[in-house]
Amino acid sequence: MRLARRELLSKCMALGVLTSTANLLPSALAAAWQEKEKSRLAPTPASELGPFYKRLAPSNSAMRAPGDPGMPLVVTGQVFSSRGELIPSAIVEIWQTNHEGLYDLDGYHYRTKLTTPADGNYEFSSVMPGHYPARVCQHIHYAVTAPGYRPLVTQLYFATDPVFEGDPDKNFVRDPLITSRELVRPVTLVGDPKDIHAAVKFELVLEAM
Amino acid sequence: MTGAARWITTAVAVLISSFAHRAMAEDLRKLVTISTPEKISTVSVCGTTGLVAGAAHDGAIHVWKLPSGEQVASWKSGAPVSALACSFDGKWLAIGDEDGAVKITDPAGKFVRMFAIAHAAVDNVAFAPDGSLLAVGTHENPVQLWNPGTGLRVAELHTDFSGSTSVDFAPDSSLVATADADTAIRIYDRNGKLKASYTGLLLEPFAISFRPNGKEVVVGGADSTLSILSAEDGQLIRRLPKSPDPIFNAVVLPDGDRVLSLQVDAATVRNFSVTLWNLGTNERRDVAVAGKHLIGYGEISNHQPVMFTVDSDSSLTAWAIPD
Repeated sequence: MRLARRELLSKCMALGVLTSTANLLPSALAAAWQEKEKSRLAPTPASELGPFYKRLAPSNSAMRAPGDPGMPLVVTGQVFSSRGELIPSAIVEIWQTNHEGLYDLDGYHYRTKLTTPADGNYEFSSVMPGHYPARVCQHIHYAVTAPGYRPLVTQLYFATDPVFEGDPDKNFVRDPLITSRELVRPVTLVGDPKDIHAAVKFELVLEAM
Repeated sequence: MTGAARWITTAVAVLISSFAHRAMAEDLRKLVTISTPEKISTVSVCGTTGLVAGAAHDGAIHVWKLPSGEQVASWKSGAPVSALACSFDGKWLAIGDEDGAVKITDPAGKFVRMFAIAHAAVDNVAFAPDGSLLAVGTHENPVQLWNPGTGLRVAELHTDFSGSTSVDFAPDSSLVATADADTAIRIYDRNGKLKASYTGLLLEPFAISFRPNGKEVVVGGADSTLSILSAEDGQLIRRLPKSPDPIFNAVVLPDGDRVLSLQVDAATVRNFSVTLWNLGTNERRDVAVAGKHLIGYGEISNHQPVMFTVDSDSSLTAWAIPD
């Protein structure tokens, strides 16, 4: 693809490659643009919010209380822009059922609201959510907001969900609310046999307004 | 169909396979039962014209006369139908589909125009009583107001994130109220200018309905109760005592004092009920039993309020709600 100098300047500025239009050669501009293009990230696919979002959740990365039944789970990730930049001060709201598939509507158990630090990281401990009759798959809800970015509402799913029968590539469509295979993440078991937990990584990519 | 409604539809599929047929409570009078080859998932009453339209997810649209149940039109829409509304004068149907489009037809199925709304399924559509506006909602984005006569978009409303679960117009069409997934209740003028909002709900509201005076709205939701708000300033007037289960649909009846609601037990998805609330006395009582799914409400020609249920054999029944 050949781009005129004006187009290159415009694209490079849009990508954050340039902050001023210095006297750069078109070849240098093209190289800078192509390099930045490589770091572009696809926005995280959206999924439905509902039905049990609850406002004003506490900021509590330890959602799992000591003694809570269910498989312990730790989810980690970072919040990026689609330009590949980390987003500090993003608000990540998370809610899920307990291991039996029940949402806490009276209180805030398994609900939290995290703010990303400068490195864009977030992490929380929980339990693997249960299945419930109206939904096919285990899932964790996310609502992510950050100034200058489109709000992201999505859900995290688990490749180990029995519904997928070991083949999430083929069977993720069994839940009509799973909008993309990208939302189904691998699960690894971490720790010694006496203190084992499931670990999942879920990066979140927001689009600029 | 709202996100909540989509959730309920899935739940009802479970319910229908779980419950045997049981009689409705005695205070409802059966008007007519209509057999359809497809399972009707949504109905809309065309004002007081005596017409009611129904749609199945596969795109089948039917229009019947009430109370006879005589079919006056039937056709297949091009895409799976996710929302349906009939204008109060019976002139137009708005058919929202899974592909993010809204088609306007006449009640015989003649195409009038189409709006491309979004890349997501259309969750709900609602006509203003005077027919001058059509509200269109998707689960991802705020409600849009369209002029169904010109096909022009009038405004896009606002949420902090996600879309709206329910929308209703004031009886004089001067205001539109939205129950939003970010838990706010917002009230706009007919140009889409925000006039008032209420952010005191913690859990999602799923239903909003104007009282006939146009000055108050009634909201039901995951908090399992009804809240009465001022449509003028958005302030909470009062809340009714909680019911056992979240409220997924609620409409104020023509007398202005009673509300018809649908509840589903969020924990088990085993208990499903239709309830009549009295806003004056705070009383509530179940009027239907499990195994039937409330899919619509309206008034027919003699201002008789009716509700519609679909049964496990896909038959559609219209019930008269007594005074």
